[in-house]
Amino acid sequence: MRNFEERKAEIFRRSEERITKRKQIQNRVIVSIIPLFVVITVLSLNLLPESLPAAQNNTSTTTDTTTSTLSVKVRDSSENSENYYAIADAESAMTLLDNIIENEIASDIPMTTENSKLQDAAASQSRFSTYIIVVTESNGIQTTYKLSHYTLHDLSADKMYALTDEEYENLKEALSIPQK
Amino acid sequence: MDNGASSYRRYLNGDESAFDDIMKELFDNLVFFINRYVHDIHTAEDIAIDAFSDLIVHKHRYNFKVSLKTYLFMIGRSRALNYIKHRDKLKMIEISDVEDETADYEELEEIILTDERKRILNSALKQLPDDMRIAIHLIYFENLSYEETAKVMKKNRKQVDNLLYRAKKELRTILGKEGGLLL
Repeated sequence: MRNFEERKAEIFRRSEERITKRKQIQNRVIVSIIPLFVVITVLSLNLLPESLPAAQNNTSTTTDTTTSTLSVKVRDSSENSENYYAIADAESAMTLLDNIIENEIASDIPMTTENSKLQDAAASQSRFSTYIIVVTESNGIQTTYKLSHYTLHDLSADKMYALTDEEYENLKEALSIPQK
Repeated sequence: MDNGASSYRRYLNGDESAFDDIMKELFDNLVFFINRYVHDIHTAEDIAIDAFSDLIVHKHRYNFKVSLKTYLFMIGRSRALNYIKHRDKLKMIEISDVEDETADYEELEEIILTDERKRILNSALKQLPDDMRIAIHLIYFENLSYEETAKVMKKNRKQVDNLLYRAKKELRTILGKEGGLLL
């Protein structure tokens, strides 16, 4: 058996050894965790903007913040109001708009800025109101339409569609536009 | 006498000599206790060294809620059981080593078993099952309380009571009427 000094020396030698070993393990863990952390950070930074809905970047004064699901908002532009109102049954309004776009042939008349201004002026002077319709899809993509007297103007694609009586009335009903 | 706790506090405060005091007070007893498990005095010494190095490596693991002796014996028991679990089933031992070991064990016995009562008791303990032997050792050789013994053995107070009751009964049978008076 060892004497007192030998035992003491052995205790301290083993302690030193164990402390060094523990530090090495800690360093190894840190060295392997830092790259992992960097990768996770980079990935999350890349993926986060994609997962955020585009509507969040919109600076309009809309009060509806539920952009993660399909939503349809309407504004009566003839009343010079900035406030949109949301459509409760956004799904059917969206379907109706899709059907019109699919079935109708876009007008041959190019929709220049000048034409658009003229149309706005005419609409504001006439007894027919003009409505701005903002459709926000579940993936955040927004499409803006302008609905005036029997014409639907896809502002995003810059295309105009002539509407039949039935389509116009159905659309107004779906968009909860009051009959004047 | 606080079984090393105050010395360890001094050591933590930077008094290196306090560690010597702890070693002088507890090392041999710890080796003798571990030997009850491993039945090899050199291995027991090795395990005791590891248990003591725990005090240096994990300085703040001991919370002073139990005596340092109890804490060291808990580490010793745990390391001894771990050693038993992992040691090779077959072990080749040189005859000269056996002779050395016997001499070392006798030397340690001289240090620990200071009176005749303990010597007689120690020889009888060899015939007891492990648990009973350890319980008797901690109570009668190390003067630990029942609670401390329970902590070291990872049992509750009631289990220790039962163990001691049965151990004493066995010892009375082994030692006879006169031997029974030693308990």
